Amino acid sequence: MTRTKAFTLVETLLASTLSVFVVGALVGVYGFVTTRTMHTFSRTSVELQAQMLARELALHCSEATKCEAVPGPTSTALKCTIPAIVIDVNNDGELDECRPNKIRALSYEQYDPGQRVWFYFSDATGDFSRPGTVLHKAIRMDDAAPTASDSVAQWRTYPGGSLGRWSLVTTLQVSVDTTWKLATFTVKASSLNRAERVPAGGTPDTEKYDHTITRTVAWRNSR
Amino acid sequence: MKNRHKGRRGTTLAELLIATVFTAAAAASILGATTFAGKRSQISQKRSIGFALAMDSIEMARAAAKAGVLSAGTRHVTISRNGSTVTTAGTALPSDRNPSGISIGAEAQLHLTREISLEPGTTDLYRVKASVSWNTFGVTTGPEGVQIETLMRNPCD
Repeated sequence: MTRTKAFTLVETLLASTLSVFVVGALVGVYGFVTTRTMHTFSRTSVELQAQMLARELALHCSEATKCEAVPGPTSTALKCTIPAIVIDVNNDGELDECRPNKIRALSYEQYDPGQRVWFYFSDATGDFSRPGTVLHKAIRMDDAAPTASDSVAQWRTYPGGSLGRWSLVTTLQVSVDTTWKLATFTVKASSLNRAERVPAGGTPDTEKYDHTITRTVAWRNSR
Repeated sequence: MKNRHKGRRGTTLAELLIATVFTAAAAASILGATTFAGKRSQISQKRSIGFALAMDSIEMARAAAKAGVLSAGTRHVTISRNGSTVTTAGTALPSDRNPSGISIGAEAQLHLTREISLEPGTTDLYRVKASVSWNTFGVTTGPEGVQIETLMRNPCD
């Protein structure tokens, strides 16, 4: 029989102990990295929703002929009156460029009122008079408060589904300085504003991320 | 039975230790990368806040230009203690508002500087430059920041 050498008992015990430590450390690292990755995704989602909404509000405010803060049942709504002539210059489906209705004396442009674009919290119907936690964008051609039929469904939810597109946004505060034609809005998003973060019968995730963006925008087309 | 064990040997202790060291090094690098990603995420958040501050400063100058009261000068704003402390210095425009609703962390500081200067050879064209810088908590050396620059006519149409 050829001479073979196996582990001694001491070697086996030492190797087992080391393996337990290594495997334990790896499992710990895996758990830590997985948790941190989930929280990073959570933080990114919160920041993205707040930034995307702030960007859209800033775009509407800057192109408006007038901005108003309208008190609502849940919070103050932002109402932007967009010029009557808005053109999609690059044919991408977005209205990009406002054009004056006429040029007055001293070369001042005159912008007639067009769409009234509203941003407000309401319930799932979108009726402005009803309190709720769903963020809506509504478009009307007059100054009346928006009804359920004015709410833009494609903006409120992700395409092809009913999942809320702004589910992490918790607060929208609006104020308007008519002297200087400045609209100030604050958007706050929170990672805990999401049902799936609270497991049924379990403890909610206590590590949360909030992101607040405040912007002040001058509306340009006020003449 | 005889052939099955011929020429085979087990793992030595030295090999096992070397493998352990390699595994520990890999785990340490993963931990480091995760920590770094977290810090960069914080910087990204500050960058977006800084950009919003700079844009707001430009917008207030635009409001002043629209009313025909834009004038040359430099304004400094410092925001600290999670946005609860705002100190200002320099020349303010009548349309200026102090920043509010800024959540930047208790230990962070943001500095905003807006410079407005008349373009040479013109009487009503102003260059408006807004710069925001902040501390970065040792992730990189030195402060980071954003800068926006634009031209405005006073009064603008």
